[in-house]
Amino acid sequence: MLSFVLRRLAWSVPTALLVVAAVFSILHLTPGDPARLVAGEDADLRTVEAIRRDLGLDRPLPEQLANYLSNLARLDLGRSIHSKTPVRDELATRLPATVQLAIASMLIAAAIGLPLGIGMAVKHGTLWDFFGSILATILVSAPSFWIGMLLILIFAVMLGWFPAAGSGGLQNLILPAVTLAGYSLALVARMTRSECLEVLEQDYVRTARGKGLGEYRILIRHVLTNAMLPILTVMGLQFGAALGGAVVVESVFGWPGVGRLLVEAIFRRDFPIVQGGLLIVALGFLSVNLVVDISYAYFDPRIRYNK
Amino acid sequence: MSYYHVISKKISLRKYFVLVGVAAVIMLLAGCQASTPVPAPAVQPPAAASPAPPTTAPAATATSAPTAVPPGGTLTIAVTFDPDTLDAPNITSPGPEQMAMVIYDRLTELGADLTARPGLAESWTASSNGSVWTFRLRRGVQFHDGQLVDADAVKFNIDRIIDDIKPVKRKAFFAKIKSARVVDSNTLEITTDGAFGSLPYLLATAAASIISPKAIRELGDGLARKPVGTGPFVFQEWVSGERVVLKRNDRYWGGAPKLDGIIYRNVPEASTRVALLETGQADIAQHLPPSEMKRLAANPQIQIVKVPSLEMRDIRFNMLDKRFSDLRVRQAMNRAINVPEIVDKILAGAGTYTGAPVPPSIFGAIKSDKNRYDPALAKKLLADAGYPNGFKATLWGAKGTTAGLNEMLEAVQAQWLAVGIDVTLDLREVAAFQALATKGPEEAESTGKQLLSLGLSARYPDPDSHLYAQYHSSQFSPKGNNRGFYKNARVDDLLDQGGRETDPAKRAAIYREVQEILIDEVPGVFLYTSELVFGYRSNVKNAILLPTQHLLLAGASK
Repeated sequence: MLSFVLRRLAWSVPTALLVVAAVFSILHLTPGDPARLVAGEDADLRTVEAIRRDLGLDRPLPEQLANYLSNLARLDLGRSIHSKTPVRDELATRLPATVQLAIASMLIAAAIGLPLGIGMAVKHGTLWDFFGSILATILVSAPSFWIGMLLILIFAVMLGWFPAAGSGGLQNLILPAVTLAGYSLALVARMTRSECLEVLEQDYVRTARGKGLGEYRILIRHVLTNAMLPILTVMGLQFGAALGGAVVVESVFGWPGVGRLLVEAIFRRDFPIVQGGLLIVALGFLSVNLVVDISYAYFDPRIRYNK
Repeated sequence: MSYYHVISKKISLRKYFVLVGVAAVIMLLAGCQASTPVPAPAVQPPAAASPAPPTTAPAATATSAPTAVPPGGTLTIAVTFDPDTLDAPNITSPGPEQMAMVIYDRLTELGADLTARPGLAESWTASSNGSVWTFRLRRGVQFHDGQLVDADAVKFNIDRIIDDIKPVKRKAFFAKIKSARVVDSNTLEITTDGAFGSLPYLLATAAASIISPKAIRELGDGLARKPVGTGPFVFQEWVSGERVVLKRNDRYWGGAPKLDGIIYRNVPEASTRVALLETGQADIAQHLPPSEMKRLAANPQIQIVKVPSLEMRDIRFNMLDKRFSDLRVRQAMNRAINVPEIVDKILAGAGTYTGAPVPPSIFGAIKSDKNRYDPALAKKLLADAGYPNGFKATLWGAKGTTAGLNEMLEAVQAQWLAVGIDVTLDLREVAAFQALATKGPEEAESTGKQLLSLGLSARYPDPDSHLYAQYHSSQFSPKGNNRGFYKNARVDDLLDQGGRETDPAKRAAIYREVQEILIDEVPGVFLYTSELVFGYRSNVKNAILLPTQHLLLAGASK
């Protein structure tokens, strides 16, 4: 197991380097000159040139990339072009909000999506199943800004139960977390339903029924355990995506997460922030994948990562 | 298959809930950590408005303010963007600028009537040739860090904004300032490159804010996040991505402000800003979407405040393009568009049509109906110019930077099509558009520069600031902002004169003539001046919105 983890960790280095190189080239290929954006729309050419020199953007691209990588090796992500603050600090202030939102939404998705999916599988073909499927379809297809605005309208403006925007306490977390959970919840529910349905038809379930095991125990011991792997995969992917920042939800709720930091940085062509941010996001995704892989072994004892 | 039932004696669902439980603990920890530094709004909005949510950490403000006088409340403003820096001359967007305006003071200040008034300078005089300006400083003013504002401090700031070696981002603003000299501890002399009539207006811009030299020296780049000025409000806290908190400067030279403090909350989504305003969680919401205007206007707890901005929306012709070099074509394209109708129907009235190139709040601005809507005449002009069946062209623009902008351009496109001009809209993300729009004359043809949708703002409310960079032939892009390569010797001459002139009456006459020429020659379609639309709670008083998008808050209360 340990060697597996170590191997996977070792592999994430080239992956991360690939991300850095890809982001670097995409950023520099994108039209839009950071120096001009920094200088403002009505700056004259001399100021723009001076700023370009100041930012080191007049150097050849390979040199810029080499510089970036050598700084990266010293864990220095550089400084924001605009605010001059270290990228590390910018990210450190935004990450907690993102992690908090991602975990909360995954909890909601799991806590509702799993029982919903199981229920739909058990009541397969009934009205319950039908309405459950419709709900899941709506949640998968409804854009999150729409759900978010709807929740704000109902729970903040009309009922006044929650603040409309901002972060801080648990009060602030609920609406954005529910909004972000919507899509994952529906995915989890649908995945759980189909996996459970498949497992429910297996011989060993019939055997379990035959030996007089209660329906609830069958569900938990046999059905859910065996249905868990694909569900975990879906949840892992969703969680990884949420860690990358839920731009839309963050914008709607004025949530100070990484997603919006990145999007604003892209608009401002604040290269160091975009690069550092995407690198962190990629590393987050890699670690979530690793954790999911490890938990496979936990849920399915047949899976062993020896060698 | 068959050995499936052998596995897993333990209940996996339990394991699952253990994981969930661990995750929940982590989240709660994260939540606690994040919520500790929250300075709660000191005063809740009136309960009648809506059941406002409970404040999260009511104790946080207790440590800071020795509030003796009856509290004026904390004003919460929902803004559109998190600032990138609060180091005034490095700010390039109106969002952080408006924060700089209340944290810092300047030598001169813009009043509600947009004239330059005394600020840190009590008075000033210009030499007879208009190039040496003497400013007498107010005595005894202190920076928030206790340092005294004297001529040395001001000179330090002027030297910084005109420095070539480490240029500030707004350096281009100050190109005409040559040097600053300390005459005595409260007298400063500024020398300009030739006569420069609008210096007092330039010095009232956010970029010319006077910053504590001690803070500049000691904080370096850190100044961006820890501004130290002399203004009515003192910087307290900046929670990245979320809010900037200021508190009252009790020692403000102009008298302590009524408000306890200001919270700028970063809310990028317009509908959410509306929700905050409706629930009273924000006292002022910036930039309301046109679609919500009617509904909000019907709400007695909300007042809608509209002010024409300094942004002129226009469509610029590339004068080097053979078709657009023909005056008749340019006139036809002007005559084909019904601007008042577009403003009314698409922008919900959030624009001012004057038919002239200078925003109406700027002194010397004129109105004209010389190019008003007349589609029949447009067709005739096109036929006269040799295009009886119209032509095809491409318009470059930035995508949806303000509400209703894309729809506005689509309406323009439709009205052009009605007279036979088939224009393709090529709308791009802002930075990508900038890269195209600032192409110089040599590249203009190869890149296909034809029509540009622009919304350029004057740096400060002065016709020189607005017209020179856009229409003087020395300012062809990429150097300046004359992006359509307009060239007229008389206009150049007048703009040069106007820049030197210090007598306001003579300047007004000069700029009137410039505008009349531009209206005759139509180097662009002068669409409208965008209107700033802010929402205030009805109990907010004396928060004056200026066309510069800044709020005068020293006298505000709620």
